[in-house]
Amino acid sequence: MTATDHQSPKMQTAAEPILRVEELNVWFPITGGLFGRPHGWVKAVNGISFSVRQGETLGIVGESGCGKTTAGRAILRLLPRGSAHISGGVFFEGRDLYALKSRELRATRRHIQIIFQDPIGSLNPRMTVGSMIAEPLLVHNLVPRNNLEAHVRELLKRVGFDADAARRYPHEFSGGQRQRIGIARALAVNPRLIICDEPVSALDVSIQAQVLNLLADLRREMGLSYVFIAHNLAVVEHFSDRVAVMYLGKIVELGPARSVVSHPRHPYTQALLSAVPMPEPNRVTTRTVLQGEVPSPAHPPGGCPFHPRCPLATAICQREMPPIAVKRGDEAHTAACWNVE
Amino acid sequence: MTEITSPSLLETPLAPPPRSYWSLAIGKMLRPWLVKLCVLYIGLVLLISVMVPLIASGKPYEIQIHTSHGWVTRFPLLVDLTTRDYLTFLAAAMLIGIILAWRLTRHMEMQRRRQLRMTIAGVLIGAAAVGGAAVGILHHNRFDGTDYRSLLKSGAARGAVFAPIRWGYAEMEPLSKNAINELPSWHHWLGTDRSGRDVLSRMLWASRVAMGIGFVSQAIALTLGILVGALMGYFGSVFDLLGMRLVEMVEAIPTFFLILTFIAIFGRSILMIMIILGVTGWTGYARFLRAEFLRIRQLDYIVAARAGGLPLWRILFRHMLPNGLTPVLVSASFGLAGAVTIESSLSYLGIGVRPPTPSWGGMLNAAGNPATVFHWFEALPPGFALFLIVLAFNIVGEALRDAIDPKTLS
Repeated sequence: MTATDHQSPKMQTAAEPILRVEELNVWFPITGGLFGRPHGWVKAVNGISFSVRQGETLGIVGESGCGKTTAGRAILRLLPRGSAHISGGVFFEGRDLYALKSRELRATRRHIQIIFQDPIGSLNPRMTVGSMIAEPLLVHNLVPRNNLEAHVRELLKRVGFDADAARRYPHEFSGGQRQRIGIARALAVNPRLIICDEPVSALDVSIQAQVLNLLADLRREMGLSYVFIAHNLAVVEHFSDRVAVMYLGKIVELGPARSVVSHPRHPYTQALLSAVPMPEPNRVTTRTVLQGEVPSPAHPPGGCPFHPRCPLATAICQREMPPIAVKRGDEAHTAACWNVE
Repeated sequence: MTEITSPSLLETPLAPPPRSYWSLAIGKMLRPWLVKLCVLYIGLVLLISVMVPLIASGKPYEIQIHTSHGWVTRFPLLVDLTTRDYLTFLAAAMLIGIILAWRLTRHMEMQRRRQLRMTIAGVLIGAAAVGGAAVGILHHNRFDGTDYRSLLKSGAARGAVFAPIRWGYAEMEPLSKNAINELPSWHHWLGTDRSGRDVLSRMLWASRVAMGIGFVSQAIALTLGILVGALMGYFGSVFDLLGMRLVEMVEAIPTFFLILTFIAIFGRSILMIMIILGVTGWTGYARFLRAEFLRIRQLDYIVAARAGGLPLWRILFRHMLPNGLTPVLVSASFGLAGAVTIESSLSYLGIGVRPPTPSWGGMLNAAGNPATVFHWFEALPPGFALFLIVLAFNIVGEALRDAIDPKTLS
């Protein structure tokens, strides 16, 4: 880094992680009737807690609709105001984002950036790539004006483009290229935490590797922390230090990536893992195939939300939500299930 | 920055220069020859409406008059121009200059372009402001009743240089010549009307009223519509609720009768008609923009802009507006046609501009007056002019709508 070196990340104390999410709830109202009063809530995110340490990557996996994208947006306080009931705390470097005034929020936001799933919708079709990347730099006065062009060129080079790309419009690029432009835009403000919202799901497998390697290089060189949201467990395992598995707005399992994948505790994680195709045709696997549909988050089942589909479900599962707890062995590996020993 | 990690990622430069969405859309819009013709026609009428004091006037640009001091050169036409004429010229020159500067600096490097554009715009606006102030202070409208034609004939003047059309809009042929309701001739290219005035000159002067009404009222309507629509669409909830009620209230006002009422109370005023058309005509634009903004605000690039900590006005007007403006512009070109039609209807009813200021509707009214004989050469030009300009606005609007259709824009 050159021009923005003075903004280098503060040293974190061991006690304070870069991001701490406490009992975060995001409930969307179901409105209707004459006066549009809510008569129910879609509990997209229902009391999740986790933290991300400096330089760490936390993966969040789950099926479509489990609330992982909503959680990512809520962390950045990006959900449209008034569209959802949000409670709980999001602490970035110890400061509660939801307590910030709008001016402070704008200043703080640049430390947390977001990379999107859809490489088409995430770039403004009317702006050149150069002005898109330069804009936040100008607004936050991060780079002197006469150095702006060079800085943009450098950022583009960092994600693998030559200077010519700055003059072009998004429609002239392919999906993988656009995703790298999105990364350059996120990097422009020199963030400390990047929320990657399914950054490779929409890409070709060959391009996926390219983008993942780029993200990994950036993490190493710039000391970035990531929240990496995906539905592909293999990608998440490869990329993350720790993994959180979400089901119906709750975290059901949280632990070191390797441990979660090799020794899944929660029956839902086991089912997810058994759905990952293995490139070993001769291996006989016992597949856990889930029965039934994902219940609607507007009417989640009582007790453990997974119990209607769970092969291990017992009477207590229908009555009470299991706490997320450390089970036998690994200290850091927790799961929310009554039936895990 | 550290060195690039993997050289294989480096892009090879692509050959053609990049084109913005707008340049693509406008290029596509202009592809059919008919649309090209319509745009040219609208441009021509606009140019005429601005320049008409220099094109059609009974006063010569330059003339030498015999006085007691011998031959003196005078510039009656320039002296005769009103302050408003001068201000219109200044504004038009400034706009053309800014548009030219924008086009010429298109391919420059981002930073230099920005600086150059800001400088040029600053200089032009400054020059126009200084010029406007100078005109306002130094120039006084005065009435020049001299009949230069008879001066020339009597030999008291010489060396006159006239405008291409040598008649002012209110200038009558002397009654003695009995030159009323003349057929087109070399002297009067479109003939004369019942008062012996040159029809062609009046036609050109009338374009001023039509274009002025159209563009000024729609500019007011666009500004209001964009502001209200943007706020409704971006913020939603209470803004949306109150904004839509306001839209419904304004839509319930019958514009035509409102104008009639105002004219009955305050008398005729072209400016008042412009303002009423603008203040009641913004609701369609607000609705369009609201719908677009409701869609755009949840797109990822807007979320990215908010995550980047950009201020609200920048998100609204730099990121959202350019993406949501196109349907509004399409409807604005139909709005222009509508405003022109309303003005001509008012003038046709005899409550538009005050005579002798010509307007196409007023000329039609005069030609169709049942108390006098109908002359086709009096009715045809204004009718045709109205038809053509409304048709041109509609064709351009249609073409723009097709051009921005995402299914066909490549």
